[in-house]
Amino acid sequence: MALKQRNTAQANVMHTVQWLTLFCVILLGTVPLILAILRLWSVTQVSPLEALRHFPEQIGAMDALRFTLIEAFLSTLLTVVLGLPVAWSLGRYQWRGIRSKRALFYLPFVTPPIVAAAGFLALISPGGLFSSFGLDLRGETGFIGWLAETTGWQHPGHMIALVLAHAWFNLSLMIRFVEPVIAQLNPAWEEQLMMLPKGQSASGRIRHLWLPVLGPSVAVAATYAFFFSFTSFALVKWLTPDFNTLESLLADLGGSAGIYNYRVDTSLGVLAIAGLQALLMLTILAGAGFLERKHTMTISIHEEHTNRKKRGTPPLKSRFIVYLLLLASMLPFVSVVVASFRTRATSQNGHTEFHWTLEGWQRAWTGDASTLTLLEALQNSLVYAALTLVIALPIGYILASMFHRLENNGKKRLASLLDTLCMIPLSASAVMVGLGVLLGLLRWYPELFMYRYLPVLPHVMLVLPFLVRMLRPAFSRIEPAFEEQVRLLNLPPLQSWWHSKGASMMAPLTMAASLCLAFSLGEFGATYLLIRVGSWDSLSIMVDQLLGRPKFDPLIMPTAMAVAASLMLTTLFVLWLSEQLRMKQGDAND
Amino acid sequence: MIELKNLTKAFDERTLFNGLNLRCEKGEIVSILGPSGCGKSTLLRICCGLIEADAGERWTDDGIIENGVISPTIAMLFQQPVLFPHLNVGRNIALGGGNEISKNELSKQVTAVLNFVDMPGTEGKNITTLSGGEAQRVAFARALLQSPNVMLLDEPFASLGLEQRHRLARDTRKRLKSRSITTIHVTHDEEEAVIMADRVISWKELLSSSQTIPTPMKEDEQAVDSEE
Repeated sequence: MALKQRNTAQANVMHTVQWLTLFCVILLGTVPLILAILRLWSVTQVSPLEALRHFPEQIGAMDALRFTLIEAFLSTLLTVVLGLPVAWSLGRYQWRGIRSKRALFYLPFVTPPIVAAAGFLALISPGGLFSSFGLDLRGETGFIGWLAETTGWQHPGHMIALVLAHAWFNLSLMIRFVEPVIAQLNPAWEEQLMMLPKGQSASGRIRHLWLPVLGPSVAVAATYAFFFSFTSFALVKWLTPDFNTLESLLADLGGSAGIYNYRVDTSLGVLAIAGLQALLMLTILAGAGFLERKHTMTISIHEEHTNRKKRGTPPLKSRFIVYLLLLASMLPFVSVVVASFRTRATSQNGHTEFHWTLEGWQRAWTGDASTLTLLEALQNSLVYAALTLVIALPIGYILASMFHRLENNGKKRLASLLDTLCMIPLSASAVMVGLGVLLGLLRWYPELFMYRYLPVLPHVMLVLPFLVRMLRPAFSRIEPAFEEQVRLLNLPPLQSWWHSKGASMMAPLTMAASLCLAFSLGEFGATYLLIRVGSWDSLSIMVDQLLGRPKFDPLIMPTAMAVAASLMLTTLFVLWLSEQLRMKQGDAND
Repeated sequence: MIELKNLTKAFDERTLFNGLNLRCEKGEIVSILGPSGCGKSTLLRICCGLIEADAGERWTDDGIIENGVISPTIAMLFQQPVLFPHLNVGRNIALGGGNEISKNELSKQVTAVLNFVDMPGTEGKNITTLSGGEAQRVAFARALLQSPNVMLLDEPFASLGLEQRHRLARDTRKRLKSRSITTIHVTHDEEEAVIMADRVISWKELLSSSQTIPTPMKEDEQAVDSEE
């Protein structure tokens, strides 16, 4: 009797902790947003629904909406066009070191957006790789200038750069969603179809096999690519300075919004734009969710290793595609590092020349009157990242285990409803979450401006949905027999947890921890809105500040690139370390 | 011994058994023979306390065991051996040892039990390198280390080939008998049931609680008895 009571009591405590955590997370995710809406409502005296009707009247709003939709559509299209052949080639054949190749393709997605912006700026700026090939996407001279003149297209170079950057950033989504389907699809399907009259031609096989099988996963990847291009901020800010997306317009207006009797138009603008953006984002996410469910129903998986072995080594065409895009994926990283050593100078005959120096790194190291030193900013970034990790990881674990438990107990609908509630910050962009904290908390309690760890709050809110998404499937993969076996072995609680769940969860937890750190290190949108004291700047804010300074100082660009390179290397080090730990755990398990 | 009295279990609207009775004497091996999906595994899970019965009682030599409580004196082998991938053979088996035993003592016991299941010197082996039969023997060794009074075998040889299945069934029987462990074994293979058991009960008979008369003692038991 006592044993049963003890077990029941333990389970009750665990369930109470789970529900309390969920309550706090939902509170954390919704209260700032609700308070922000109330603040704007109170300042403008216009309800959020009514504000939506005022959207077309807001200055720049319609242009921003048009630009957002166009750039997101083009970025998605390019992502699919480039990503599909890579996913096909990677998934179909037996590659040597496929894990490293995949990891390299995934790198852009976990790269801080401000580093990506710096990398593309370095590529397209004078002296960069693109301009050395005569493609001036920044200054828009030569072919791009001709294109602008003949078509009347405003700043085509900027748009091309942005679309390229988004495709580079989102390429991993295609590999993540499409490659496993190709790799694991039962080859008997294709073989059977080849024996049938309708499957004898390649077009027949595309129509009757590949389109229905790959279609949903391509659509899921494309929807997410659209979503991320839609909400991209740092890349838009720096690659298309003459255009606004809804996100960047919100960031521009946000600073002066929510103040009584001051620029009420900006408050109305924020209310209207954020409202429309939230509606559009919810629609996109709902679409992605629907496609994902369809995707899981469609595929029938088969042993990946056997499939690859059967198809053998990749043909030349596939090698060319994979290696070319791999090389292209690495270019922005290399460009950031190279640009950090390249200093501009004017020659005696007035031409611009570039010299290789360490001055950019020296300036970054020592800082100046208006920026921190590299080490100070790094320290700030690491503190924010560590705090985000310490708070978000246990919460993510508790929530994922709770949703898994509910699902296992037949409460799938409740699990899915609660999961959706936790995803609220995901359906708001980084800038919107930052604005939520700014308008929802800081405008009501301005003294919070003096709390230096405030950016940790949006970091936690933004990373949590990803953590839950990452850990929940890991819980489902745990062999349920382990739990039964440890119960039968009558092990102490901690040992029971370790052998039934802990050991199996170590690899996903390590990956989740690295995601937390990498995300916080690179977070830009929310941090940009919340850090108001210079000495609290993170590395990403420092890069932004440096890029924003007048370029007559030749050391500005190399200094910005040196800081961006430091942020990139720190993030890569975190990811590398977690991969090493994960592999070590794998070895230990072997 | 283990005795099940008036056990009842239903899932949704399907009643698996209603008022089921079964008694196994100390050291007796009983095989329950029934088709897949009839509820044999559920019965074993209730026996060991992994799931609760809707009604009825479980009794062992130590008295009644509360519904849904796992007794340390009952061990169970699953159809697929449950070995933890993060532990090697020796450490998997060591989980069956008591917490109060010293490391050295536990290590000796692991070695002994591995010898007992004819797998000497495999303590450091990676479990992913084991064959199906070896993995099941490791799981069996771990269960033995628990020093159970009752062993529940849920089609433990089902995933093996016919010849290996029957050989392992013979070995297992010998080992259970040598330790006088009361055993309930469920299977859908009649031949395996006959090899393993002192008494074979069909699921249908069990449901009507009209248990078969014990089959005569086998030759190997007679040999063991005469040795004792």
